[in-house]
Amino acid sequence: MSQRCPAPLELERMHDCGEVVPHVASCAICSDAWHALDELQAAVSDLAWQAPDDLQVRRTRERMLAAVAAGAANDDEAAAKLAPAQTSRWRRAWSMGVVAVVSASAAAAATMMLSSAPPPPSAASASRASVAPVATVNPPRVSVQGSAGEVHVTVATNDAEFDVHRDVATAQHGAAISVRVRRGNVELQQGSSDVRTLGPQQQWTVVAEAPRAVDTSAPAMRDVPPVVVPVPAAVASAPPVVPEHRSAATVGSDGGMNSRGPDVTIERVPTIAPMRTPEVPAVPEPSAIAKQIDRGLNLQPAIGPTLTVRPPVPLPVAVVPAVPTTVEATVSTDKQAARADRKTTKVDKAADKAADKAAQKAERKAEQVERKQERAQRRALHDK
Amino acid sequence: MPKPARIEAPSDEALIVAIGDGDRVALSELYDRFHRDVYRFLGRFVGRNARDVDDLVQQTFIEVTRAAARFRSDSQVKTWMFGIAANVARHWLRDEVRRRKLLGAAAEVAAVEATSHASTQHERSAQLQRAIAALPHDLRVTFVMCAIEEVSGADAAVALGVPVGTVWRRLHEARNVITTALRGGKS
Repeated sequence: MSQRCPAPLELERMHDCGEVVPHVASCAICSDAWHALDELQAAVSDLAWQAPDDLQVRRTRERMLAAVAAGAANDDEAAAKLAPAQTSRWRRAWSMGVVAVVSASAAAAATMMLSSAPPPPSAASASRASVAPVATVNPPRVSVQGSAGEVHVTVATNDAEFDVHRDVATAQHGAAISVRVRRGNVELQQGSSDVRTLGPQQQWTVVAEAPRAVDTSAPAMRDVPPVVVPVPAAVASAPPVVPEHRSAATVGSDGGMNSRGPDVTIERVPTIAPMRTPEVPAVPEPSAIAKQIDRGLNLQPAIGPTLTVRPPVPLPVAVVPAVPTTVEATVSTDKQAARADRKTTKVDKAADKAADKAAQKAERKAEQVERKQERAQRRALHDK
Repeated sequence: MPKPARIEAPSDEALIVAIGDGDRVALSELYDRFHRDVYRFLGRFVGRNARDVDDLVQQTFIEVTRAAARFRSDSQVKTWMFGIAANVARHWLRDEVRRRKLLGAAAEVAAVEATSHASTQHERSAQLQRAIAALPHDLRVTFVMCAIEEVSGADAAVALGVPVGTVWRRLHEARNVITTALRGGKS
């Protein structure tokens, strides 16, 4: 072996990598080693192996899938025995799934609203299809029903069960979101200020009115026929809603000329963190809106009413559309809810007062004890 | 005329990710793609007892399901599965040796299996089978993976969790042992 000959290991590496080594052709030793590698490789390549027949392959596949399924079942049993802290993690994950379902359904509603023609019959099934993978979150207690211009979501948590109705209409009549509680208590938040707690069989409806500037100046909007907001059967059967007050709320309305309804965007709210205020984008001036309408442009982004729904503890659900403008909205609530709120406030105040008194008493007692100890020390010193 | 749209099959890596999420359909698809490769690898690694190879293939895919969440795309899926199959085979061989020792049978399982099939094979292939079966585990895995299945040294290093230089060294040693065995057989 000459000095130019590569090491045997290096020669093998070059052989395996298919590198061209000019030295091999001129060196008898390396050439022999190269040929020996070729022969061994050829022998190895010719090594016979018995391919499995189809029946064998199928049986192995079935046994393997069955074994994997059995293993997954065992894992599920083990998960069921997890500590409460770990199961709460499950619960959190599930609540995120609920948020996703509501988001997806609202997105489907937005898609239906944006279409200029009435939605085809397949729109409902499309919305279900988009939600179905999310609804498989364990436990699957979310039902979504879609129809022309309306998406109806029923959300059930461990603490409450409630329906979310999204009624779609044109900007002239605004859009509405109503929530009806079947079981348990649900906390609702409109914008960042108005928070209500609904009990069983109570409902809350938010209706967005169209901005007047758009309503009166948009030539294309005049052609839009008046729209009757479809009322879901569940809402119709609910107790009558008594409008208690009108309050300024952060809701939006559609300004789009080509779209028939508000364009809703959904924002996820952390399930455990406290509710946060939805960010309100810059409000366009009415004159700017009118100019855009005159040019025949869409106002972006179009909007829908804002409503945040959350079960009290610990599974909130949020539906937060984009809000480009602020208009007035009619907020209807039940008298019982208001009374319950007042009672709750009174009880809270009384509890606070009692706690304050107890703290003051404890402080006084502590001061008295300190004074007694000081006196005792002084007496002891004086006696000495 | 517009060409019809084609639906592309998911990549091997996408299948592994789906399996990690518990997708059984993806596992079935992965089996369809790679069962032949795994059969061949294990058949050459542990011998040719079809029933044993069946069990090992099944166990390999079960282990793939368990390890799917830990898969990183450092190597090809096939090579990664070969690494898993090699581990499965090592455990099986160890248990098999113990079992046969308890039964008072021959000590070296693989050699016995290769011998049992020697009559039905070409002489040179039988010698080669025996030589491969007689290799230590690490050398055998490297040799079967790189020399027979033609996995690149870098991929084999990732799959086996060793440096590339170690792969080349093991391959070199395996070739030396096999070449010596074949020459001894001839003489």
